[in-house]
Amino acid sequence: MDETQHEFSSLIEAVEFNLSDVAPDTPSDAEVDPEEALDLQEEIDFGQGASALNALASAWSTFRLYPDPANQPAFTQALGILAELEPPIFLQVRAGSFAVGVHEIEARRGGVEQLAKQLFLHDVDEVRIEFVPTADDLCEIFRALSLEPDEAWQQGGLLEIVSDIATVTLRHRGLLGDRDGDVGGSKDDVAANQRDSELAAMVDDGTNPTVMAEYLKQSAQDDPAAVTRLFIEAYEEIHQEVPEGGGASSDITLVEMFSPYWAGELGPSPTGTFMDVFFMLPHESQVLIMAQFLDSAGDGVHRIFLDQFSGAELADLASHMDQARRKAMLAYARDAGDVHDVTTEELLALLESGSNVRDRRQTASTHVAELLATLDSETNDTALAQEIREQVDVSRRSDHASDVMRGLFEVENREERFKRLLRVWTGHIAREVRKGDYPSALKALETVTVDPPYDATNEPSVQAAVGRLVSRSLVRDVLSEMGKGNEEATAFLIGIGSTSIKKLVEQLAEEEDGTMRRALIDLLTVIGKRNVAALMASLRDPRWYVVRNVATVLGKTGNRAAVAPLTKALSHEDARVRIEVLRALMPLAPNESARMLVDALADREKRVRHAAAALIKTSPAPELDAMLIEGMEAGAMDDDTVAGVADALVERGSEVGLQGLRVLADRKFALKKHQRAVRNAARAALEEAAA
Amino acid sequence: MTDPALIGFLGALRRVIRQIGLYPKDHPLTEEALATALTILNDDGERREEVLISISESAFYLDRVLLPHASLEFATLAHELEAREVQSITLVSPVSTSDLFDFGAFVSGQSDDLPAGGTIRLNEHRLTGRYEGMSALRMSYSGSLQTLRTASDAMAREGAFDLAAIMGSVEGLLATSIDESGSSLLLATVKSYDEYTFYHSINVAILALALGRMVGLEEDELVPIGAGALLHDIGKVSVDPRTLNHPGKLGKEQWDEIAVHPQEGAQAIMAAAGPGHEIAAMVAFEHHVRHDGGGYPPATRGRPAHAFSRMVSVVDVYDALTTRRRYRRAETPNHALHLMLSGAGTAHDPDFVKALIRTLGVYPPGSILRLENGQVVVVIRGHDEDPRQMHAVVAKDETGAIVDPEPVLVEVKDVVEQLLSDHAGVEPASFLENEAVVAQLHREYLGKSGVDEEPEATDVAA
Repeated sequence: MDETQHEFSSLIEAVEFNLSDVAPDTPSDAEVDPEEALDLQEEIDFGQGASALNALASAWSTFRLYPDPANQPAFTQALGILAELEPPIFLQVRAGSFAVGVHEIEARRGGVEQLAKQLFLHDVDEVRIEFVPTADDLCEIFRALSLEPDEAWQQGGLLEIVSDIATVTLRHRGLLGDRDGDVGGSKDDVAANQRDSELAAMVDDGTNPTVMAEYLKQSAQDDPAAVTRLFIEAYEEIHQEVPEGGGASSDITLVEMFSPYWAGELGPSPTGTFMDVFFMLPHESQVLIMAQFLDSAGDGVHRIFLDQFSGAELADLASHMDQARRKAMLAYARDAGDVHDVTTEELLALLESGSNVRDRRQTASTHVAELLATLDSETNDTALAQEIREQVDVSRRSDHASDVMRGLFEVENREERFKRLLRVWTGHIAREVRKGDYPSALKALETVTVDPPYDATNEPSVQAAVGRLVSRSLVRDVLSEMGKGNEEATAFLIGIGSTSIKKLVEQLAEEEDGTMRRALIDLLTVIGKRNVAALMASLRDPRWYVVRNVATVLGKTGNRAAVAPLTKALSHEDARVRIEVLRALMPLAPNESARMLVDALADREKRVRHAAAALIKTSPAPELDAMLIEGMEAGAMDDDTVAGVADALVERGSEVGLQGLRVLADRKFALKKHQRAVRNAARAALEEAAA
Repeated sequence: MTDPALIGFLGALRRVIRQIGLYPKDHPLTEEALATALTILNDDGERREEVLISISESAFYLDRVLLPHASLEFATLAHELEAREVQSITLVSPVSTSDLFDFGAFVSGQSDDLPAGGTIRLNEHRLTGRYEGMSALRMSYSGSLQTLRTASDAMAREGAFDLAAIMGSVEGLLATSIDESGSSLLLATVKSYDEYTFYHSINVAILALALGRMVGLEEDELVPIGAGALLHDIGKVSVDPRTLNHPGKLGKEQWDEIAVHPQEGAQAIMAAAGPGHEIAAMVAFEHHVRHDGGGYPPATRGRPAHAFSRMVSVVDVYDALTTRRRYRRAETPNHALHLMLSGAGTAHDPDFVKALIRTLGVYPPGSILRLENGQVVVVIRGHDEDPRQMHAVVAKDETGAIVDPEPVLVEVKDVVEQLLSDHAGVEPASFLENEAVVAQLHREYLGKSGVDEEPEATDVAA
C-alpha cells in the first residue's frame, strides 16, 4: 500500500459512520439508541437522514481529496447508499450540526463537521435530497460549496450556481420577505421548511392549536422542561425574524409584520396561536414557560407574549411562581395597565394576594351556577328604570350640561384644548340665550365662573372668553328682555356682567343710542353694587370718556368703597371727568365732598368752576357754607365764581351762610380788587334776596 | 368562488388597498398583500374562469346572490367601492398582479387608471331588476357605520360633527332592534379588527338599547342614551392610531394619551349640540368611571356616575371583553359575563350587570358551544321560561363537519366547552339569514306578540 492509498484508507475509516456515532438530541447527555427514542416513522426518517448524511459527508471528503472524485470507490459507495434510500430526505443545517426533524445530529466526525461548516458558511439551512443524485450532481454541488462565499455571490449566489440540479436542492437562510427562493420547491414549501422548529413550521401552516399542543406534549414526552424549551424556541423563531424596531436590512418592523394578523385579515396571529397552545399545555409547563418569559420581560418580543395575558390569568400563574419571579411579575404589572377590565392596582392586588382565580375559558361549568343564580335572584328593574327616567328627564338637561362642563374644566390642562373648551362652553351659553333659556345659560355660566374648577393661571383666558360672549347683540337682546320685566334675563345678565364688566364698560363707551346707554348704565350700576372693584379698575382707563362713564356708574352704585378712587380721579386732566367725578361724589360722600367742591370752585377750567357752583346749591353738607365764606375771603376764586357762590349761599339760606355774607358785605376797608369784588358780590346777593 | 373564498378575497383586497395607500408598490408588505390576494383568487378550488362580484347599497353580491354577513363585515370596503362608482367587478382567472395593483390603486384613490389588462373588469354587469336587499336591521347597522365614519372624519378635521345624523342612526337602530329584537343581539356579535371602534360602538348601542328596554325604558327615553352609547368612544379620534393599535399593554405615556378620550368625546358632543346631547356627552365623559368611584377622568373620581352612564359602561365592557383586541384574546360570552359578575360592586354596577345577564342569558346569543354529544352549536336566543335552556342551531356535527344549521334546544348541563369564533371556524352573525335561525327568531316574536300560529319557514324567509 503506497502512501496515497494509506492516506485514503485512513480517511475512509475516518469518514465511515455507523448509527451509533450519530446521537439524536435527547434531554439526556448519554447516548441513547434512537430505535428506543423514536416511534416507527420518525425512526425511519431519522435513519434515512443519518444515512444520507453519512453518504454526503463521505462524498464530500472524497471530493476534497481527489481531483477525480467521481471515480473513487468511496464516492461510488456513497452514491450507492443514497440510491438505496427513499427520497425526499430533508437535512437541516445548523452551526456544527445537522437535524432531521427535531432530532439533532451532532457532527462528531470530520467529514460531517466539515460539510456542516461549509454549508453554514454559505447560509444554507437545508439540504433537500429530492431524487437519487448522480455523481455529476454531487460534484457540481461540492464544487459550488468549495467556493468562498464572496466568490459564490459574484457568480450570482450559491443557489444560482446549482440551479440546474434537480436531484438535490439547497435552501438559503433568509429574512422574512427576502427569500432567495428555491429551485424545485413551492413558495409554501419554502415558508414551511425554512423553520428550525417543527412547531414554528406548524404555526406558519396555520395548524390548529389543539394539534400543536398535542405535538408538543408528545415530542417532549410530557417532560415540562422539554415542552418549555420547544415552545420558547418556536416562539422566538417566529417572532425574532425581524427586530421589533426594524433592522438595517429590513423595512418591516415587528408591529407591521403582525398588524395584518391583529387586524384579523390573516387569521389568528402567531402570537395568538402561541397563547392558545399555551393554555392547552399542562399547568406545570405553563408555569415554566411563564417563568422564562418573565426572566426576559425586558425584551420586546417576549413582552408581547406577557401582554396577551389578562390580570386574572397572570395572577393564577403567579401563585405558582417562586419569590423572584413573582417580583418580576409585579414589576411587569406596574408598567402595564389593562384598559378595560383589570387596572394595574387590581392586578397588583391579585398578584400580591396570590389568589387562585378559578375560571378557565374552556371550563363551562365552574361559574354557570353563579350566572344561573343571578337569573333567579330578585330583580331591580323598576328601580333602575325609574332612576334612569328621572335622570334623562328634560328638566335635568341643564344640570347634565353643567356637570359635564364643570368636569371638563376640572381636567383640561392642555393649552390648545382649554381654548377649544372655552369656545365650546361659550357656544353652549350663547345657544341657551338664543333659545331664551336664561336659567340654563346662567347655570352654565356660573358652573365655571363661581368657585372656578380650572387652574388659576387660566383666569385671563376665561375672562376673555366671557368678554367675547358679551356681544352687542347679546346684550341688546337681553336688555330688551330686561326691559320687559324678564327677571331671568336680568339675573343672567347680572351674572355674566359680573364676569365681564370691562366688556360692558367698553360697550357703554361705544354706544351711541341714548336708550341703550341708559340701559347699560343701569346694568352696570346693578353689577357695580356687587362688584365695585371691577368698575374701579376702569378709572385708570386712558380714555377720558370711559373714566367719565365709570364715574357716573360708580356714583349711582351708592357704594362708599368708590369714594377713595373717585377722589383720586378729581385730579384727572380732563375737565369733563372732573365734573362727573364731582357729581358722583356728592351722593356717595356728601360731607367729604364739601371740601372738594370748594376746591373745584378754584379749578383752572371755567366749566368745572361753573359746575361746582351749580353743585354747591344742592350739597347737603352743613359745613359747606362756612367753607364757602372762607373760600371767598381766601381769594382763590375769580370774580364770576365769587358772585356765583354768593348767590348759592343765599339760595342755600343757611344762617351761617347769610351771616357770613353780611359780614363780607359790611366790610369797610377793601383795599384789594379781590376784596372789593367779594364785598360787592355779597351786597348784590343780599340785596337780591331782600328784593 | 365559494362564499368563504370571497370573504377571504375581500379581506385580502381590503389589505391591498390599505397597503397601496401607505407604501409603494415594491414595498414587501404591498407585495405580500398582493400575493395573498392573488393566491386566494387564483387557487380557488372551483376553477371558474369568471367570477362576478356586485355592489349595491353597501351590500356585496356573489353572482347576484346577497352576502349579508360579508356586506356588514366589509361595509367600509363596499362604501369605498361605491364612492369610486364601482358597481360590479368581474374577475377573470388567472388575475394578474398588475391588474390587481391597478385596481387597488384606483379604489384607494391613488390613481384614476382602471385595470387595463382585462383580468379585472369593472361595471360590466350592474345589478338590475329585482334582487334581495339586506334586512332593515343590517341596513341600519351598515348605515350607522357610515354615519360614525363620517362623524369621526369630521371631528378629526374640524373638531365637530353632525349630531342630528347620529340621532337618526340611533332611531333607526332602535326601531329595527324592536322589530327584530332577537336578531339584534346576534348581530351585535359582529366584530371588526381594523375598525374596532366603529363596530364596537354600534354593538354597544344595540346592547344598551336592549338592556334599556329590558329594564322598562320607553323609546323616547332610550334615544339619547343610545346616542351616548354610539358616541361613547368618539373621543378616540384624537388618540394617535399607533397608541390605539399598540399590540401590547400600554406604558404610562400611552395610557395617559388614551385616558383623555372621554373628555375629548364629551367636548365634541357638547360642541355638536342638538336634542339630547347633554346625556350623550355625559355618557362619553363617564363611561370609564368605576362603580366604586375610581376610573377616569380624574374629575369623576369619588362621584358616582349617572345611571344611564353606568348602563352603557356595563355593555361597553362586555363587548370589549368578547372581542379579540390588539393586546389580548377575546373571552367567550359566558366567561365575559362571569368576569363582570366578579367585578360587580367594584368595577361595575351590580344591578346593571345582573340586568345584562338577564338580557343575554347564561350563554348569550352568539355563544359557540360544544355539547356532550360532540356537536358544535350556536346560541340564537334564550328560552322564555327556563333560563337553563337555550335555542340554538347546530353548526358542526360530532365529527367536526359543517352541517346545514338545524334548530335545537340546548340545556346548560349539556355544554362541555365554550369555543371562540376563530377556533370553531363559525361566525355567529352569519347565521342571521339562515331560514332555521330566522324561524327561531320569528317564533320568539310571535310568542311575545301573542300570535299562536307559526308561519311556514318559506314565508318567513320571503
